Amino acid sequence: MPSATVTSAVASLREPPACEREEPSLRWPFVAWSLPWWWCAWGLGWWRVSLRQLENLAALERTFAVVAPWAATIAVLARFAGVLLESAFYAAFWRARGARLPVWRYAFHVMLGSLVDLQAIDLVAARPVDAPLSPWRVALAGPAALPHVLVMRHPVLAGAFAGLGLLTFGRWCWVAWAQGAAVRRPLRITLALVAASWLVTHLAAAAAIALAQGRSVVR
Amino acid sequence: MSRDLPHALSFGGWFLLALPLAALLVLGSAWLLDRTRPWESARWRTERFVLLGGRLDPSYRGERWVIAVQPECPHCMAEAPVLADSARRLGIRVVALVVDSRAQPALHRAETLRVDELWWDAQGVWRHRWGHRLYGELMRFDAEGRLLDGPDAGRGSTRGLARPREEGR
Repeated sequence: MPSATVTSAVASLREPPACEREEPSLRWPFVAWSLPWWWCAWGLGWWRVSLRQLENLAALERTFAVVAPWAATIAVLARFAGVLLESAFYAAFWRARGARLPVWRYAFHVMLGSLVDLQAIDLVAARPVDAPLSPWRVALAGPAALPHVLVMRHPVLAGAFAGLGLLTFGRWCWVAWAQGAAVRRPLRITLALVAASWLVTHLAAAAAIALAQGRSVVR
Repeated sequence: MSRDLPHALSFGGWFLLALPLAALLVLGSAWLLDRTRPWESARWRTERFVLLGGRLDPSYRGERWVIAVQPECPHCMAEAPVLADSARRLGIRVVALVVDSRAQPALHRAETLRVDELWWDAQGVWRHRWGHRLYGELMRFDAEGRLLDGPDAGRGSTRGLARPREEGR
């Protein structure tokens, strides 16, 4: 065997595989300097929503109003950890299947998709509790936009699948596209994976709500 | 091509994949056990509880609202007087049932909660026999002590519902 060929073969063994050397196929969607600002805007949006939800509880218990801003901050940090955990889970899943998903880039795309959830929540909050049924709101934001009386008939399902609307479907498509671009798989595969993961986690949420509720009457 | 990556998943990676699956398994099992456990139908029978305060009215033959309160739960302690006022306007008798309290609660005055009767669930009937879990829940019982709504209701339990007495009795 010619020595040049042997040298080349040894060198190729030492080098990392081609796939590890190349730039990840999922690109940052914005210039680098703007990325922290996007994260800040996301955090601020969720902090505002969390605070509004906690203030509804504080209306019943005044002492809770003092700690509500701190509780909202903790909720945002928990959500941030959730985004990272979700991204790390998908990265581990694809790594086990021989593909590479860059965690931080994918987490950024998940965060951008999460901004759509904020819009859905605001769409529901903008509607008075006793307002009549608004089909377009329900189609966009999901069962959370249903009148309170209808939601209370099935509190477990309504609680777990409150956000199942077109906006959520749009978010699935967005993160599935990002995942597909990163691991070079067809959109239908990644969309099925994202939808299945969403379904399983929300079924788990329904089970958790049912356990917490027991046979208690919810009004 | 990313497909050429070796299936080299670290321990942390496998842990990350296995953890949600294990959690789902545990949660699913807990849910299944809870759903298949035979629960007692909730019935308002005063001999199962300890009277702490208020005044009984043996002649009352109307609907009765029972609020499950826990002294450590500020939300349900704040909600109980509001519900009691609503019920009183309808001429319905209101009962506060102190739940999940091993020692006899320090609440000796029904006036604090503005309820007609204050009872203590010393045996844990509400949680362990009926399977109820939400503090501050409102249970509506008919004159015979049958629950009017919720999972225990049905089988015509609303039949025979006596009309509540008029306010100012």
